[in-house]
Amino acid sequence: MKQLDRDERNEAQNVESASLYDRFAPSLFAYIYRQIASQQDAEDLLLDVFLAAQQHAALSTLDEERQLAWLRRVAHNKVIDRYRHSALLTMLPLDQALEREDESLSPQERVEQGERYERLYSAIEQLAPEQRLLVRLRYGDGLRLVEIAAMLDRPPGTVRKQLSRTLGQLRALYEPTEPTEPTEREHQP
Amino acid sequence: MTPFDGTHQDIHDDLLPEEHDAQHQSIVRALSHSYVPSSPLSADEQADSVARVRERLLANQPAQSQSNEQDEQQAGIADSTPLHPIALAGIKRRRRFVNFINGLAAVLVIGAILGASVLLFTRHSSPGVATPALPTGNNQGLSIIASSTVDGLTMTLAITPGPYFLSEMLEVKVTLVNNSTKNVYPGLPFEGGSCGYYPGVEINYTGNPEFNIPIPFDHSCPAFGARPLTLKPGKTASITRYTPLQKSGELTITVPANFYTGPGSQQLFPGPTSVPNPFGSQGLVARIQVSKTIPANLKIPFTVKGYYATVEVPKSAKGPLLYAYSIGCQDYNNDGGSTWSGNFGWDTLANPTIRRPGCPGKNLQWSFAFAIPGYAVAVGSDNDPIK
Repeated sequence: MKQLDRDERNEAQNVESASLYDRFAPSLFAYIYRQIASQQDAEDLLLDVFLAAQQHAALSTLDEERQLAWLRRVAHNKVIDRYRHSALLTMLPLDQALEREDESLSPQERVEQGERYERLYSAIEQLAPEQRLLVRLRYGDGLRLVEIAAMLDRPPGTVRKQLSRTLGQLRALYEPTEPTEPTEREHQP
Repeated sequence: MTPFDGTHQDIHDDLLPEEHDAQHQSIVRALSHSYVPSSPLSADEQADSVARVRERLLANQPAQSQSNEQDEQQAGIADSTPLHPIALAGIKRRRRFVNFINGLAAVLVIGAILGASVLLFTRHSSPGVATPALPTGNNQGLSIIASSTVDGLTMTLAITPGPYFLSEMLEVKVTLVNNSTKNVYPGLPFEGGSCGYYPGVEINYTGNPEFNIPIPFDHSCPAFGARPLTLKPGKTASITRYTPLQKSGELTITVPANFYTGPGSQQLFPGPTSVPNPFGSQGLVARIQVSKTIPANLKIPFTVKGYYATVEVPKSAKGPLLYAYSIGCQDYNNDGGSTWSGNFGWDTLANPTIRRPGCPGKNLQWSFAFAIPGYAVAVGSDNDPIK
């Protein structure tokens, strides 16, 4: 009898999950895909989100707006997790990125450009996962700051500051400052 | 194309001051060239994806309901949730699910096949693990070959299903679930090294390899410098690695892992204090049997034409297409100098055609390898003495 009750409860929960899935899966999939640009990965993360939803019994007691907010928060965390474990997620292999550079570069310039790209990739690996996502949304997808803010559920001003700080951080690693020449005064005894 | 690469007319009206700044133009342009362009999916493609996930979700429903029945020792961990780990379906429960939806019979058949493959392995710990497959990043079912739970901490090792053959590429996923009530601080391999090349999974054998890949994978970048991961109660960490089978016979797969007393400080030194690995000094261990000859249908053909190499990806392949290479050339001046580089690891390719890397010299030598989990690693080279 106890087993039967459990089965009934589980089946009721399945129906609930299916309904939740029907309502929110398409928009959540679009939301995830936008951030990781891989159909397969987006499917995996969508599955993760709804597996999490199945475990969160209190979700069914929330209204639709809060349910969506909860699901989006989990989806966001899953995306960040993915960026955390794959630093260069969604980035082109170095040589393919270089192919998109100016064709008229001389061999020497091309080598230098390659070195700069290597530094850039290395610099991106050193960013926090949230920063990597921010950079991808801005420069990979070309999203406006307000769009990014809406997607990440943060004030536009915060996104602006974070992006500005991240860009500065990246530039410092990408174009390290050459040691300055000593001034004439410094040469004097 | 993005508004930052010079090809887009719709310049943002919300540019950062830095994005206006000439000094930042170089990095902004480089960033805009560095990402895989996201191609919008059609409505049909999106609907297909949502439908596929629905099927996978339904296939996991009984697993969820069974979680109360399984003890932690038996848990095959699928992934993290905000509250609890998900236990995968057992065979008994799957049968009940067949009655629920006949259309998912195929899932059970696949599960049975994968379950049989588990018999090929010698489990080091947790012999009760019977779960044959778990969802992975590439939608290919992996077989759980070892799982161990100590003090509420469960580590699971899952790999490409067997049988196994010499030269085959293996996908390895290691999952760590914190079911205890306190934070745990795992270091490598769960938190990447400072340069990201720490393998994290070792395949051990005696003697020389029988299958060689003429590409170096040892990177000089030191593994220290990473701070331990803070794994909170109820959370999961996982890593996926790709490693070729270079020896036939019985191979041992080990997952050594570091654990610490705390998260450490922002500074590199002093680092956090390490503690003994709760899963033993060797970490998680499993053994597999590898046959000497790989079937012809598991080989990946490729062609080299001009500066390009193209792989014929088998239609049945579901895993990612992986690429490793090394490139070397001499100086033009024949002064004995040479340049050498490579990627020191397996990169995922977005398309099956790869261009030969450039080299600032002559007598270029390009060695490359393509791989897909479950298929033989394809090795090739191209020399260009007249460049």
